[in-house]
Amino acid sequence: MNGSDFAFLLPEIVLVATAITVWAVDFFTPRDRKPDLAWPAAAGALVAMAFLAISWGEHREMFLGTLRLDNFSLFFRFLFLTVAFFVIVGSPGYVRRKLRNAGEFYGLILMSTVGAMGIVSSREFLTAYISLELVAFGFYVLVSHARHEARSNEAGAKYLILGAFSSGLLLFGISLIFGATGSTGYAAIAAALETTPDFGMVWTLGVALVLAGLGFKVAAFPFHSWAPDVYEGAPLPITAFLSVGSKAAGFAFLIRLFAEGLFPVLDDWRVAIGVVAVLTMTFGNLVAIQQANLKRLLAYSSIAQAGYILVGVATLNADTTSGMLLHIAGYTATNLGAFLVVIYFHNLTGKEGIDDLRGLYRRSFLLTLVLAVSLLSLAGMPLFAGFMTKFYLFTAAAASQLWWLIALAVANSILSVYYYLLVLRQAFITPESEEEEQRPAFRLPSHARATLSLLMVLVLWIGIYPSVFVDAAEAGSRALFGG
Amino acid sequence: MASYLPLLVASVAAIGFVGVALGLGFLLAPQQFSRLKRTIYECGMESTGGGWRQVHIRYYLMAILFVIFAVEGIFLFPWAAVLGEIGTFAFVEMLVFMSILFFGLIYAWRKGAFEWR
Amino acid sequence: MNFAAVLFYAFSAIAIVAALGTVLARNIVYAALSLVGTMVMIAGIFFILHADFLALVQLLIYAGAVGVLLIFGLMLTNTGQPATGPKDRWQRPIAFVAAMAFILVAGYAAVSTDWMQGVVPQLERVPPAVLASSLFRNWALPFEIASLVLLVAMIGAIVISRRETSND
Repeated sequence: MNGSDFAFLLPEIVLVATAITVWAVDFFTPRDRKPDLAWPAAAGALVAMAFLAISWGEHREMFLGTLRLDNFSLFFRFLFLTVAFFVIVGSPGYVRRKLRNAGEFYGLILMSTVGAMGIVSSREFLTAYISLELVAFGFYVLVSHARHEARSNEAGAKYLILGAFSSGLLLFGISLIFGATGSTGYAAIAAALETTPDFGMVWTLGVALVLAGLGFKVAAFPFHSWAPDVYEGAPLPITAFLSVGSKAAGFAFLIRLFAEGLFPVLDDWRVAIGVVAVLTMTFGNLVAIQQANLKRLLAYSSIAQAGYILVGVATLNADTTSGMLLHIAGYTATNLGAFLVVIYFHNLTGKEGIDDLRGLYRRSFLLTLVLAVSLLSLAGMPLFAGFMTKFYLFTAAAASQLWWLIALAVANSILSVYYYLLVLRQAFITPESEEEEQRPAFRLPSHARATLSLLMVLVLWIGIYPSVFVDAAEAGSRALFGG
Repeated sequence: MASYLPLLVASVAAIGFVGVALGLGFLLAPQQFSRLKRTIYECGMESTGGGWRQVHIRYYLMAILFVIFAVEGIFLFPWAAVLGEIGTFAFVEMLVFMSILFFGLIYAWRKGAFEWR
Repeated sequence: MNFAAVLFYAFSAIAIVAALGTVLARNIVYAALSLVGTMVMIAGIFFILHADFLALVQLLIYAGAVGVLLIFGLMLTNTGQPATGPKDRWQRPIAFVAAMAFILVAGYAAVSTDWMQGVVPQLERVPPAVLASSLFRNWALPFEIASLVLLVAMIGAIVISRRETSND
């Protein structure tokens, strides 16, 4: 490794520098201007994206192979920067109304993003673990950022305790795997598995604990129990960030771990992961149907979505990996769109119930449109990202011949249409009372209109003509599987 | 193993000293129990309240800053051992590490974490 | 049984008793002190394994700094009274069975594994310079990320616990 290789870490360095700058500028910013620190923070994410774009296609191993910058990591780093950008740009209105310590808020979002970017590039357990902790520490604070709201405090405490517990499981698993194979590097673990195919009980227990620890992070059944309460209690932009950023980071960890380290033993785990996938999506969908609160509905829906992605992990190969990357990208754009609608709706009305959406189409056409596009995409309707990416993922998964898994995933996907449509019925069809009809139309700030439109275009673009995204996902998958 | 012998001797001596001092006190001192004797002794002042006092949150802040700088400090030991060998790289590494934590110190100071209000 | 083994069993026994004390003590201060006791005994085990630096970290950071933090954290609560008994008493047998099952599986895994086929056949004292060189060369990156984690922890603690002024 030589000095010039550090140029490839510039995106991360820029983010850290931006976060520290935002915190420092915050000292001298009067209170009513602090929410506007979002703009420098978002600009930092854009600059980082520009530096990232320069290194597209370059592969680098750094720090004696603990870090590998390839197209897989590029794909996810780009995704995380996009998420950070949209979450930060979507925040100022909410922050102004609800939160204090605005500068810290934006800086912590950037720091969590740095952690997520570290996870995808790590080819070694400890680097991935400490990056995961960086993500988690940021989130512990962000979730309880609304200090004066009991719900936010409760969510923060629950997330902290269960997060620490799951980190403990993960670390114990890592130490058992290290004990069996003598290394924490994925490549060395794979090599050890080639020579000694069976390490016995200690190996099984180690992998199971690692899976349980990561299962918590992606909120897979039966490790999902923290998710609804935390999603509901956290400040809205953070719920959005959790449901896409933290989830994608967990999956990136899982995919690289299985592709580069545990691939030789994957066959032993396919059925177990498949069962977890089915339970996760079924549970998420069944409970989502009963929700009256939009935030909780999206929380359970995101549990279900994690189940679909787990189908790809259970049937892991080069094709399903590109399917997962594509699906994660589509899901990210879609869910961000849905959450931005909820954030802006909440800013204007202070409400987040599904009933409160009555008459939305009259009050803001754009909000209704983006909500409809996002929910139809989550439901997997054709023309929208959700259909295209799920189709791609499930077709690739079908090659594994785990038919029960594919059938149940498709059945779940159809089941979920019901509750997404229930929400849209409120927004479009359910009549307003006479009193409600007097309510004025919403006035959205121009940046809100811009970000909402941008996300809607992204969802439709992925849904109708996804070749650019498919190419990127396949390039990412090739970085892991060769070819 | 022999190099740990002084440590073992010191531990045994420390535990032994406390044990012997307390044990001898127990054996030699006259034993008398009364209710008055069981009350809390506070340098002659009359004690008020129980042994538990809710402390102010600033103690928690102090404690967490202590933990963080203890972690920082302990990395300096191995760093000092290899600074001559690795040279500039290790120096820059530690500089970055400490600068980042130094910003944390500035942050704590600017936000009034050290003010005793 | 050599001297190291005697020490190991002594430290382990005390560590286990102290760990049980942590979970079973009715008074949370006793629980916290028992936890510190466990940490000290684990530091002793690290010494036996020739992991001097790790033992030092365990003593200074865990038994020392984290112990202090833990006790301050407990004393933030406004009650010195022992808890009045858990509400979810029905969870106890389930938790007991689950914990026992885990102990059995982990214990079986530990006993049934041939650890000697691993890469460390002979325990040797690693000179501090070798350890440090590994830390600052091979593990440079996690080391730097650790500083970010600490910074986030520090800022987070201040954000959450500080008295807010009119300019926040």
